Amino acid sequence: MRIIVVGAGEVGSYIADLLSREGVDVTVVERDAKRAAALAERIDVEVITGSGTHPATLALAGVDSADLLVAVTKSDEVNLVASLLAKEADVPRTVVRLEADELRGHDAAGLRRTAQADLFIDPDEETAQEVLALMELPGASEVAKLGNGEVLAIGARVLEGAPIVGKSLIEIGVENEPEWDFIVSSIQRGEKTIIPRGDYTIEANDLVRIVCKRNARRKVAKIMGLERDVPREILLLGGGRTGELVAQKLKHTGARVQMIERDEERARVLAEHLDGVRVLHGDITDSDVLDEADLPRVELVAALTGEDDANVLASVYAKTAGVPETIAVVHRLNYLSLLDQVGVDAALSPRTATANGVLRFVRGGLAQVATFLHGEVELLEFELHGGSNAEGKLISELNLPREVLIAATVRDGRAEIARGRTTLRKGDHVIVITEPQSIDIVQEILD
Amino acid sequence: MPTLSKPPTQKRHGTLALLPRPVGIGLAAGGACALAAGIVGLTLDPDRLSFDRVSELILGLGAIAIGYTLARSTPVASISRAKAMAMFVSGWTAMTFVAVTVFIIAGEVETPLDALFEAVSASTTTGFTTVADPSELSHSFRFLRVILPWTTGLGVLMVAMGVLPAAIGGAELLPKRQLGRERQLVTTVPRAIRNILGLYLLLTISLVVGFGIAGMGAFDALTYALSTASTGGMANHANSLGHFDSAAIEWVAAFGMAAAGGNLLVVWWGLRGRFEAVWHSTELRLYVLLLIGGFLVVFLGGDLNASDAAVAIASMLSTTGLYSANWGAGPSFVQAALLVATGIGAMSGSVGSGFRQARAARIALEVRRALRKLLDPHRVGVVRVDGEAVKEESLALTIGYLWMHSFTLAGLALVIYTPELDLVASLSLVVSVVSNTGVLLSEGEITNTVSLSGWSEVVGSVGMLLGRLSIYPVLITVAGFGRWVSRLRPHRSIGAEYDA
Repeated sequence: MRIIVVGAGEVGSYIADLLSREGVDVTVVERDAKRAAALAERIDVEVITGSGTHPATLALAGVDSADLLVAVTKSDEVNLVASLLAKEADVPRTVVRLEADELRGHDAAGLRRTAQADLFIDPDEETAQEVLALMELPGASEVAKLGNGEVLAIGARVLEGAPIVGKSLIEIGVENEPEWDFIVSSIQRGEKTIIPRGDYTIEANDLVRIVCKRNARRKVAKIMGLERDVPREILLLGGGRTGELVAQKLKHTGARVQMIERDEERARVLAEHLDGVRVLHGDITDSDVLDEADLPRVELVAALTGEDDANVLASVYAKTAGVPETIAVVHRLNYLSLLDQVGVDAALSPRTATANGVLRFVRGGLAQVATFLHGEVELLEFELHGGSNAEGKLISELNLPREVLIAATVRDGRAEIARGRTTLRKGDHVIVITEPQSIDIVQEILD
Repeated sequence: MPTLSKPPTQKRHGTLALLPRPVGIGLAAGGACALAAGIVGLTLDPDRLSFDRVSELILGLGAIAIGYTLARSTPVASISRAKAMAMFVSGWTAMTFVAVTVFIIAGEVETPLDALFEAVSASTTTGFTTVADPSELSHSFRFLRVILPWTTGLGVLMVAMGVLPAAIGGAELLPKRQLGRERQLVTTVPRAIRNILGLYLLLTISLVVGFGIAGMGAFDALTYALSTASTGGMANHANSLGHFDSAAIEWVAAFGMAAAGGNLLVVWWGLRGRFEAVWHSTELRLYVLLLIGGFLVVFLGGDLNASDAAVAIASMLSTTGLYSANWGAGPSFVQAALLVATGIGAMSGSVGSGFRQARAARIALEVRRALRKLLDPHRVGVVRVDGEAVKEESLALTIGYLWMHSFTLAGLALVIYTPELDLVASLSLVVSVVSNTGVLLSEGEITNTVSLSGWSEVVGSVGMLLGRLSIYPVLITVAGFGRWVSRLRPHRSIGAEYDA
């Protein structure tokens, strides 16, 4: 498979790195010569210096034989033009990053049709959605929505005293008979991630991922020991687009929202636009500013700036000031192991949301993909087509390898936790958790 | 064969080229008032028919003819705010010129300066008079004193709400959605004229009917209705509404004045059943709060009955100036409350004038923001009106206006020299002049009648004009005129003094 990535920024270079490690033939197009050279040094991909809006540059990148073009520069216009040129060169699929509300709205539908992109992605919006999902489940470190939102994958580190600690999966299953509305889908213990079977016992400090029906999320939070009230006093650090999107959504929920933004002009614009949100102007690492936000009253801090150091430092400060819940956006993933230790409850990256969108096409035939910052497992959502090997079979008859688990199905909009006696039918959305090396096997069975 | 033509260009208009139209409209408006007064005189004062009535008719017709001719000049689609203000001021000046001329010709006031003061007082909807007993005036003159403010009030509404909002100082006070074309009231200029005139007539006719049912005669019902709807405050009697000693009349007047002081667009929304929009108007809530709070202070704190208290607060807050009982003898805090009420004035977007409640609300919110900033130094405060963030430039204009208003009050207090008036009376006169209320508080008595020196009449007239035109347009026009004059002077080149 040949993929062209236009833009070697944070998102583009992450995708290029991710795919190249999987053996995909990746070419990156980057206008900035220094950035292009830096990327070529860091990862094993071909890097072309030039603009993605120039046909000659794309030709040099091999657009004629590409299977997918991913345009993820910070410029919507460049991304749209690159997609258009790729489609003219008969590239089967294109993914375009589009951020401006004006271009995502109804008025620009014609323009989007003209660009012929197969998928439009907005990392800021995706990150904002992830942050909001985490806020709904305080204590969780990961929340992924699948099956049109009917199925959730909730990940959290379970602590001593949580109801599921010390129990085997069989015991947990028996407790919840006859109707299962969740299933333990993966457990990370130390550096090792496994897809557990019935005899596996959950221990304190395990990072447990549970796949559940949407309406069972409170029950799952309870058994994972995360039973807390949804936070009503929220402090957002950073007034970038992600912060603004989160604040906009939160202000309709009745939560008391505060926001800290370093740029004075931007802070003023936010204060004008976000009626009901208390906007403070200052640096998020300035303890005076953080104290002015009345941290002892705050129930959740979300650090959303583009600077990892500031996000982490401010989260740690908030944690020491007694804030029960902290969420931090991180861009450099080598920070991740550190975050757990310093007490950041949940971390997320704008890269993963974008990467998930791209992986759908790379994997082929998938409705959705969810990857996680911690661990190597992936959640895949297949739509079962007529003539699939699995159509009409019980799950127990599929002979799935040990590292593959069918977690749930969504039939006619209704989610069910998968069991051995579940029969798969045409049109079912099947949610599978697997390790990357087994993806081909899963595709063979379900496609 | 194709021909090349020059692309269309936006023609730039000098200020002088823009003036004939507003001047024409001003002349025609003044002429129409004179003509109407002349017709009333011919009808109701046959025993007092004189050269003056005929002169009014001739002047009225002449002013209308000249005005109509001038007003037919080409309308301009887009002009700067300064030019719009200059047009507004020049139109007003032309109308005032006709009004003063008619008042002089009518000969029912003693001196030309009295005529100037009376005419400006009427046209600015102030309501001060130099006549001790207006009931002795002819029907024609009494009608003239109320039709003039009614006409100028209509003009202010038309300009502010529909035709040329930029011309009025304080257009920035109207939230965008009130100026926008989406709220049906003012989608197009003809529609604006039709709707505004319709609402204004509806209020006036309702008042005529209300006063008639409450017991007034036809002429009084008509004139007091015109005076109430326009917030003019000119009365036919020496002790204003107190002459009738009727609670029913007082309640009709109180509700009429309260309605006239309200934003026309909010009234429109109310009539259209858009109560949610009405409720979300910050200024309306403030207006209702001030009306009710003021009523309670005056009623419970003083010795007035309910209808008199209602008239007092509605009159002072809407800057009308009619009164039914003497509140000047009551407790000082009641007097202070009523003077503060008139200092604040009516809602923006109403026919009333004064400092305006939108400005008062903004300044109160600005004070709150400043206090919050002291408590939370990093907080980015935003002043919101009707849920919309007020731009900093707009707030600066309001603060600037507060200073200009204060300087105007202080300046007038310094230069109006009237030995007969004590400090309280002088201050009430100045506040009343600038807010266009027309009520003098002197020695425990309130009155519309003032006896001023010629100098004070001129200064008072300037004060009334400044108040009615919201200061900014006058200053900008004067500054623009000064700049134009300076450009007329020949330029001296460097070293000219050596050439000489």
